[in-house]
Amino acid sequence: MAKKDVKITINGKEYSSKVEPRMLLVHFIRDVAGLTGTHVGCDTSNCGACTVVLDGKAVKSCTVLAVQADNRRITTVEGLAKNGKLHPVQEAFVDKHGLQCGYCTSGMLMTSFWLLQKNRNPTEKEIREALSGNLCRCTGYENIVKAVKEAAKEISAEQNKDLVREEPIEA
Amino acid sequence: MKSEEKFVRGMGQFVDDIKFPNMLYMSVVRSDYARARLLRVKGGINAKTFNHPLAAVGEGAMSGFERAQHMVFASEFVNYLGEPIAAVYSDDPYKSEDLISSVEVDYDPLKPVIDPEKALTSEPIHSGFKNNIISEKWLGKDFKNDSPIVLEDSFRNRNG
Amino acid sequence: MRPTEFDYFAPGTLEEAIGLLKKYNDEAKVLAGGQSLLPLLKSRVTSIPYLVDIGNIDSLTYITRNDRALLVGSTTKISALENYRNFGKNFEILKEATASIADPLIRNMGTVGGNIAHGDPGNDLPAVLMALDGTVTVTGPGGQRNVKARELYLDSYTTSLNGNEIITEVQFPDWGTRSAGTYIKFKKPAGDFSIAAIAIQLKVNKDGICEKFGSAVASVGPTSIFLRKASETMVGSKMTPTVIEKASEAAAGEINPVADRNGTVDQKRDLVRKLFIEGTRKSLRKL
Repeated sequence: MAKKDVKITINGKEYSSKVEPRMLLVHFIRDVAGLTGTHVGCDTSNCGACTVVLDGKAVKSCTVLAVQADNRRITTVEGLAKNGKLHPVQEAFVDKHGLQCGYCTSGMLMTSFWLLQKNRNPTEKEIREALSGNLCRCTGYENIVKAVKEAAKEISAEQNKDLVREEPIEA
Repeated sequence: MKSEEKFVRGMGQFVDDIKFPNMLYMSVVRSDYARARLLRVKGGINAKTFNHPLAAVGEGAMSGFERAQHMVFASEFVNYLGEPIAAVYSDDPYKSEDLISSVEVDYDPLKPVIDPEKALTSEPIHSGFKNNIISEKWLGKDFKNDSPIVLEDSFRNRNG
Repeated sequence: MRPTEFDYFAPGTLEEAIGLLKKYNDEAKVLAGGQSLLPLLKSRVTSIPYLVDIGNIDSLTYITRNDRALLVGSTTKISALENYRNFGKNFEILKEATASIADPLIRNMGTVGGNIAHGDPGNDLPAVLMALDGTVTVTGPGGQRNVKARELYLDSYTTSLNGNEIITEVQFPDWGTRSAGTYIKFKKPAGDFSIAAIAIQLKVNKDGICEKFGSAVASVGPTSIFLRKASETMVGSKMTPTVIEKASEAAAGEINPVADRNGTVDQKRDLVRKLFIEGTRKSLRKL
């Protein structure tokens, strides 16, 4: 079996390696790039603990070959925080207790991140549908939904801050 | 850092996240049958070379239940689908999984008893046991048979 | 759970891809989105020595229309089709079906062509294509040909394609005015596959008589099944409750379900009968 050279950009950094074509993207991320925040949960493409954003779309990295991601860009949970500062979706999950054991969390965060990029104000139904490929055995999903709603508010507020101009108050 | 913050950053250290230098990866050869006689096992590390019980598992870990010990690898019989029969190792997890097919196992499949009430009276599946009862409990004290109302029923825990 | 070894190619053109399939013949298989194939490889249910990835052939990713049909390039992602804005009333059946496939993450990688070509009786788009009496364009070393969906599936995981051919386009016919359709998926308790799913498209003339009717089911046979007798019963009729009931009984008789933990053969027949009635009623209300 001929190995293949792949170059994958993860969280803005290029990772190059010669890999077996059968290597799953999730293993490239965890073992070649050393980013273990993305998890393997189920073996059957059900649980979504392996979710990353590939070229702008949330996908299950356990069901993608590393070679399929050659020359493409990926964001993982480690790429959400900027200069150490938590992304609003990460803050919201902490704030609203959207996690217990933490195993499904990176997958939940990445799908939520993707959802909020295309839908600024999702309804509860839209949130639950978007997360239907991410399973959680601990929380019962209530606080996860609350966290995503909170994150949506936070992101909107941050974006609106740029539009607000302070007017002088007339006496 | 609060543990919740650690997890949202992807910095939880779950078992598979832990890495050591010169690590080996293990794959387990597991029984294809719920009940079978193991005629032959060749390859990997198996009961012939590693004949030890698991240190602590379920009822067998409690004192008084030593006879319900679970051996790491099955030897004469397998008693559940997926029971470990052998283990193989490699420095690469993909090759480790490939090595599973290098272990040869010959089974003589038998009919499993899957009804608990039948199991009460059928042949013990573990050698050295009188029957298939691991533990028997009476709940409550002062249990009298002369109560005005006696209720009797069996309850099925729908786990699958 | 990791696949066995294989060699992998990522051709940039259709010609290259077909050349590779021809070179490796029975030992090569097309990889599109991988959402059906990779799980089979990971569980080692199957082992394929050569994978030809058509995911980089941009010319196969498109959604367009002509006056007769919606034309979808085979490597178009299912989510792209799901979010297509120009469906119109005539393709609600397709909107409903695509939205029901697996989950959003799978739909972001899985392709329309893959969902049609894979041949799992539980896949959703084959029943839709059969109901619409749609076609696929198949390209191989000998050139191109069109195959009707209703003749495409021979057995589980087996289409009439030979190993050197690739589905390159899927054509969903536009049934025009006074037409409506529905997809109903009766899901298993866990996971996103169906116990049975039905695709129904109908068209009436000015007097309310049924001019055209197409119905097909998933998951109740070795392949998706076009309900020929049920569809024929409806055509030319006023689609009264009595006629619908008669057709639904024909539908129940045309399927080939296997008894399993989800139901007995009779229960599954009854399910299909009920789905036929509900699907037809829903479609009529949409007219």
